[in-house]
Amino acid sequence: MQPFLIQLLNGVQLSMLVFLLAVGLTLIFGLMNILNLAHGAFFTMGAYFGLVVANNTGSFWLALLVGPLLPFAAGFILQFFVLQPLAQRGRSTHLDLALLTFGLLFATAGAVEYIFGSAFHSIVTPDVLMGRVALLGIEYPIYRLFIIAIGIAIAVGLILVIDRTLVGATLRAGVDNREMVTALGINITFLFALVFGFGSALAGFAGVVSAPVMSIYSSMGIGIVVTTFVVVVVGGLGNLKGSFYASLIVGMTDTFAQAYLPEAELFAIYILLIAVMIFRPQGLFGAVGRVA
Amino acid sequence: MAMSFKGYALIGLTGAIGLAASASVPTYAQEKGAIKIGLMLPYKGVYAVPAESIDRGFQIALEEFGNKSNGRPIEIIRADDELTPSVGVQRFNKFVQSDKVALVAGVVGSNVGIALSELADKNKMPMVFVNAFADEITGKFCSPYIARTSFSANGFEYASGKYWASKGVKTAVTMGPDYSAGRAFIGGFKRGFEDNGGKVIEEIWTPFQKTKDYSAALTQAANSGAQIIYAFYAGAEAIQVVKQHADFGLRTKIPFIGDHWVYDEALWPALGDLALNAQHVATHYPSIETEVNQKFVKAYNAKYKQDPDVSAALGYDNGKAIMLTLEKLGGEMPQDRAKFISTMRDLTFDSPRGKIKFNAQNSALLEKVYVVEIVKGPDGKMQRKPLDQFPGAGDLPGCTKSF
Amino acid sequence: MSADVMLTSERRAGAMKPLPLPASRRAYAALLVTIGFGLCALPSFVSGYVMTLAVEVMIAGIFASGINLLTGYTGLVSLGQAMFLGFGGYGIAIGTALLGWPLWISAPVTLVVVAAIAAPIGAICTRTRGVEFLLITLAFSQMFYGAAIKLRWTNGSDGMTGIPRPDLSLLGMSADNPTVFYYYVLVVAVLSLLMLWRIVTSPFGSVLVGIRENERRMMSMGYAVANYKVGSFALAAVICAVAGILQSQYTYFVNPDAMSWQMSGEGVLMVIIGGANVILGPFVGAAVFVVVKQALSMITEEYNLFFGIFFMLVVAFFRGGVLGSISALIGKRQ
Repeated sequence: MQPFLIQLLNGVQLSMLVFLLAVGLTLIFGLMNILNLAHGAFFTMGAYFGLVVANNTGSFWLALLVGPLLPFAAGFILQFFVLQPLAQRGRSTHLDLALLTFGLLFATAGAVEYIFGSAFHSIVTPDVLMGRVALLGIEYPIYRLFIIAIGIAIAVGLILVIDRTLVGATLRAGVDNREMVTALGINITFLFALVFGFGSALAGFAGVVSAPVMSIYSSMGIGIVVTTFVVVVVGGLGNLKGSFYASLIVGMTDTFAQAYLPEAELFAIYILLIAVMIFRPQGLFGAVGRVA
Repeated sequence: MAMSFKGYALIGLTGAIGLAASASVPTYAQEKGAIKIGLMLPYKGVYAVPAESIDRGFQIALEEFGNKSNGRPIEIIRADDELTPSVGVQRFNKFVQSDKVALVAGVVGSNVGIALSELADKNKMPMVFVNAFADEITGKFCSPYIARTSFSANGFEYASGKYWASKGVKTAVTMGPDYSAGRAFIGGFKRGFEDNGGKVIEEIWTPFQKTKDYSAALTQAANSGAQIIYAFYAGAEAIQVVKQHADFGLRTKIPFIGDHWVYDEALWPALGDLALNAQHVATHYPSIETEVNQKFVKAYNAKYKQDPDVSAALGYDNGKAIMLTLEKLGGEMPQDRAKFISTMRDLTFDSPRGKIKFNAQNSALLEKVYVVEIVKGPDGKMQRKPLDQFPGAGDLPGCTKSF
Repeated sequence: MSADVMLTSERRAGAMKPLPLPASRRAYAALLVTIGFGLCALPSFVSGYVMTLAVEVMIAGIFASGINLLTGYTGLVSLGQAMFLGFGGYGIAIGTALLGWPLWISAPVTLVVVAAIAAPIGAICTRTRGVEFLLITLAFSQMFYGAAIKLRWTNGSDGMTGIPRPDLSLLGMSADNPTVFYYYVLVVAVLSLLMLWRIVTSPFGSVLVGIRENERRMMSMGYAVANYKVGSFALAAVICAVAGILQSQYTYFVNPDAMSWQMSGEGVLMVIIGGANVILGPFVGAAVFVVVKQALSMITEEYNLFFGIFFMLVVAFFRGGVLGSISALIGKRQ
């Protein structure tokens, strides 16, 4: 029972990390219909920018706060100055844009390697979150519990914002019917770029959060972005709450495969994805407004 | 879209002129210049740290000979195999066809080593492995064009398994990266351990170069009920797994035992106190008190301002074996290149780790295995304290060719 | 510059064949013969390394041609075609090394098996379109990639060595010789192209183009669109597997990296560079890609950086591909 409980926590911790990435990706897809393959690049950017901040100030908390700013800016610029104009010019389809971001994913990995080299880095766990706590007869690293807490907090916060605020209402309306929002006189281009930046910032935030337990290295975003797609599709493209549940399902599948069925650890989540696409192409939790 | 026939013809003509131009460029006959050695190492990625050390050790060896063999300068051409077999194959082809090297040295990953062994054999290109410890490289894939200057996984780890069994350890759970070298190292340990009364309860394999979080695997290992975790990891993977072992509070529950790659001095800055008091087997450490070793450590320190780690020592042996062979052959690569490797096979020389001799399959045998403990020295710096030493084990059979 | 020569000679080859203009048929045939002669004569006046590059270009070109059938002609963009590249290599590796079959049995059996596996995968994937098709093909290839890494009897991530090249001893030749291997690949490349040409000029091919242009119209015209799409998927898979077989023979080796999604991406890139839905486009794309990659590797080791930037630029500004741009240029001039 005890090791099972630890594995359960391991699974939740991974789930929450993936959720931070998935929520941005699904939001961007839901609103803009853009499959952003470069989402992993923002994860990398956040981690490295956080690393620079942490190395210069010695503060993990500052890194956590400042790290996501770079991916926010990069995401905003990408959407506002590149993707949006390309889409509006009408010559590029959404498929083209997806391929463009595929290039960006690899370019970022290459650029990071050019600047920082190929070494593996890590951000030191802050003192407060060092050590372990005993609960239910097991000991678990505090930092990993912190990741779980952050994931849940952000999920709750987002749901509150989206369900209860004006911004949320606009976004929901945008997912349902883009023309209507534009007709209301809202600068949709700017709003989209902001959302794109915000999703990218969350990915970057995940990069900093993961740094003390995982390594920071140039191609870190390339692997995790595929896992994120699985979550987004399983949860239903464009479905925020769905992405939370799907994160849990995918994170658990991955962790429990590693623990109890290592033969399948590298492909269990893809079987899950294919099964979902066969039996429920709109995702397990249905899509809000859009079935692409 | 429509394009006229003339258009196509124009392009075709351009191509034809280009072809003709290239045909008129004369190819110069290879003058008797430098001896080119292709050095292939994974300069990037998880094994970047050992690769750098090997490169440095290799240079120290060449400098001992003034970077010349019988008056001919030695030219090193480097290539990064990215620890990926397909990339290694491409780089190897470039070495052979474009750079026209006399021989290829280096290679850390056994996965790359296995892919290259076939190519070396087919191209009749001498391949002198520095690491590539997997037993089958000089077993199943043995070739008259292949030699390894370090040792086989079995030679090292069988001895290690035997040692831990003799220390009263009865049960172990093993952890290793799921690729040829990981399998070979852990396999060697298991044979040595079980032949001497131990029992491996569970083997856990983590995907090579893919796993960044070992929490699930470590949790399973801790729960196996074994007395120790015996592991083979190197470079960046070693740092991660040792740290996470500590994060989960397993240091007091189940010790994490490995070799000098898990507790490599190149990783000490990252590991900090986690490396302290670790006991492990080693094939080399800087304070071995032989004249050859002290000379090597001094030369290395003079050039790089730090002590050599085991990879540096292995790189040095690789370079030295090549230079000694070339010296014997009068600075010439013989027409029959297999003769280069068979000449190397007949070498015996003193290396910083001990005496180096080759077996019939061109694989260097391990003379000594050391057991050491990492301790804080009087100067407050970490260092290794020798505990024990014993001879290395032999290679596994498996070579069906004779040469 | 020998690299440039490769480029232009391929470009020349690339420019030729998509010309089905009846008016210039005779001249077309004449030029084709010239090109064939040029390619045949290539080994006699270039260095071994250029020939190696030519082999890489042809293999990549076949792979990209498979993708082109799916992407260029049928309008489905896949990020998973590398799985079939891997299937080809693993197919003959398993056939020859594990089952002990000769190559001439292993290779055709591999292609049949690939078609048999690809058909149901295609049936599942082609129910989707656009980015969802891209994602599900990616998922399938990642699944096989992961499985290949874990599978012990194919040596996991280490892959399998000792893949045989064809035994040409009856002709008194050895395919281990680079020149002989070059001709072998050339022959296979030409045969693959002829097959592709037959496919796309057949009624079947016209239906595929029809699907790309307007799927609903084809459906209302009574075509079993779904079957055509699955057929296109399976044929594309077989062509990619042919490239996989050649690739593994070229390196005597296959491992899971052949199925990575970057490999799939490279194939798509080659198709876009060459110009989608032009039959020789993929070969031009492959030539540009291989030569640029080679040139870059002499300047820098940051391959990913340039691969990525190159990819973005091509997607954003170069959709017609090399052939498209050239024909546009010439069209303007005339």
